[in-house]
Amino acid sequence: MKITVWIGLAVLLLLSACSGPGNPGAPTAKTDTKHEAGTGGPASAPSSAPGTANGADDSLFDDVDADEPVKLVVATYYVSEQVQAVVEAYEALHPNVEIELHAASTSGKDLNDVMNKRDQFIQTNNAALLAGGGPDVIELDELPFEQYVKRGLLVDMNGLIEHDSAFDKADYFTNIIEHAQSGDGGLYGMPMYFSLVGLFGDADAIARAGVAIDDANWTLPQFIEIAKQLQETGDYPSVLASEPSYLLRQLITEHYTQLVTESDGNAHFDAEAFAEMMRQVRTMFDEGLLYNVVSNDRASALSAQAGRGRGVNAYFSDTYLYSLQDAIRFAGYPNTKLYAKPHAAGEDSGGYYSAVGTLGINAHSPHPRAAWEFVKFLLDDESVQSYINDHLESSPGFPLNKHVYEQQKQQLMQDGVVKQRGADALEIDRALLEQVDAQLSGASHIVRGPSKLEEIVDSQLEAFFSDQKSAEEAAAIIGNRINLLLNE
Amino acid sequence: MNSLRRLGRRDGFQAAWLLAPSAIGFSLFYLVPFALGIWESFTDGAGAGRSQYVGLRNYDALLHSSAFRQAAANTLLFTSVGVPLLIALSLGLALLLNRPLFLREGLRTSIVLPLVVPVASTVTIWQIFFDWNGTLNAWLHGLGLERIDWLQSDWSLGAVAVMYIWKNIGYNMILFLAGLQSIPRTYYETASIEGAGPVHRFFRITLVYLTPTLFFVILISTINSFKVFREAYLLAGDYPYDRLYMLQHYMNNMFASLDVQKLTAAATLMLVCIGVLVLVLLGLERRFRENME
Repeated sequence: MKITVWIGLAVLLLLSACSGPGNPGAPTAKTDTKHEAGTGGPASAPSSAPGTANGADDSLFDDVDADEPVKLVVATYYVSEQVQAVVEAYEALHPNVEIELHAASTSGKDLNDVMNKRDQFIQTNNAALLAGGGPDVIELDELPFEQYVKRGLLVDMNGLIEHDSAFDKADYFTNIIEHAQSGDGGLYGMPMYFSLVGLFGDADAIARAGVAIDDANWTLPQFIEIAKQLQETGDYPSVLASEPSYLLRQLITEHYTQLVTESDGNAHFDAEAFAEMMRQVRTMFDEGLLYNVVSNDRASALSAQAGRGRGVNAYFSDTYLYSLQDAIRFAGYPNTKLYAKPHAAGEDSGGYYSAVGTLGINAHSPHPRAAWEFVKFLLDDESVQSYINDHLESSPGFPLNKHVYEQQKQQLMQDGVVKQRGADALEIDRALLEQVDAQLSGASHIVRGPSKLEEIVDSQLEAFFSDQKSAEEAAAIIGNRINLLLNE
Repeated sequence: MNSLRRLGRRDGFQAAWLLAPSAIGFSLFYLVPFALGIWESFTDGAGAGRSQYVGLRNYDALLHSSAFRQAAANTLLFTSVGVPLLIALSLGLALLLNRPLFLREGLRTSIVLPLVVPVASTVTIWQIFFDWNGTLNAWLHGLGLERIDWLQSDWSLGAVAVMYIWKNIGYNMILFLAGLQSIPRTYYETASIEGAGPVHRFFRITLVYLTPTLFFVILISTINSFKVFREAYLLAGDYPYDRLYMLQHYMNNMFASLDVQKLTAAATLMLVCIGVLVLVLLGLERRFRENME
């Protein structure tokens, strides 16, 4: 009896071991053998895990047979509308390719529903990728991109670009592609669009105050210094329209290396230094150096965001641009100039941007080459990027493709105005557009969405700014929780 | 051939066939994933088909993580304080409700109610109760006391302990009530005639005859105390104050960061600990039963 049970168990285990995970389709087994052949057996593979693509170069490029039927699974979160539009066009051009689009829904009946769907999207993809399956092309904006890279789950697209003579990096914003690379030099995510993060400033008022600004190289302490001078001499009562917790979150990201020290394998968050930082920001707001857009007047802040209000009460205001039209719409001063944000100490010059619709290719995909072709098509000027403005109400960002961008720019220059719904059209400001143009090709610092770290910081700031907790208390709690996060 | 036929006629073999469907189901959904999980904790996790055996390296990394040690210490502290407290309270309640009392049925029902209410739906109430600007602090303020940040201090473990007791007290009470009612009334009557006081009767009769139930309740409460993560997570999120950080927080966060190796290593360690605990409890119970006989 006992023996029977054990035999039964053994058989089950064997069965489960044989039916390895992956796509239900047949090609999985085929490429597995290819991978092994390319890397000289499975034994050598794990050591080169992060650079799987390098180790498996040959296997990436030997499925160039154009007529072989290929099925690609594409998973997107934010850019599903755009991708949806282009899938049919691609299938028509490549009859051998069938594309299955897994578009996660970003809408729901309430916020809870949306968050649940988002979590589901993340978990499904995490599990599938870890098991060696999952979509061939993935949009990574909402996914733990860095973890994927660390575990070698994504293809290094540099390898694909090198072998692809049809792809010329110069057709794109090379600075964005370059800074999309991870620390090891691999290009694991290719952004389709990007947005510009910067400061709008009142150039006339700054000139009147007689303060010289070198925004290519300024750091935060310098910015504060300039702010003090401006406040003393100039027209506006405040210097930067911002929000305290937002500014602190920026500071924590920028001064991360000073705040977190490592000793015998354990990272430690310096709560005292952070408490000092909190007090500084507090003082700046109390002295009126910074203008709190949230607590002071939400309404005017919102209208400034929408571009109608031409009365921002400070020299500078934060700005996020997703298109050239945005620059015209959001410019809040009579003579608006775009400045780069103050840099963290030791950073090179160049502006800040954030990536939208970052696409990656699954390292376990049976058709990495076909997946790359599709990614390339998405970046192509004939595809989704070019007709985005006609078909969709708002642009998801500046297109990575320079030709498309140039077209958009010329179109705008010709029109000479930016149309607004329910309001008069706005005359374009050519000087401002030129500045945006320059910043676009100079942007070199990626701004990522709120991380866990920032969420933790945020949770305590309200109590601090409303005088319910001292800086030390709040910083100690923040430090306590961040230490957990750092030492997992 | 002959022996094979004999084997086919044996009861055990017949039973095996009949058990096969559920055995397959059990293996497929529990046993095999379980075994794979343990295996995973000994590999480097290079991906499907390429993983290699690395011995105890994952366990080494796990034990070097201060967050893991913190989580283990918190879980241990919570269990060692929460379980005795819960058992004492629920036993007290059971004793109280075992005698004629005004509104006894209503009280019993109200105490069992938390058991059937989903945690997620009550957690908001608890959140409002324990929040920095919440009910409890409003009461403290009303009494002229300094307010306490219940969820962002060492008090947080106490807050979750309150939730744990609130949630589990009804279930334990029912078990104890059943145990109490199975003790023959004549024992108490005899003891009373012999002149035993209430304290004596409690320790010499009630507690002794309740011991089998007690073992079961300890076991269930301990396992439930490991499950308190759900409350802690809903109350304070995935990175709470470090005193509230349980083993399952650690595992949950490892899952989120795709570190299957540390996750499975932690799960295996936890499994071993619970296994040892259960074996010890069952062994004690067996010895006690043999003594009674």
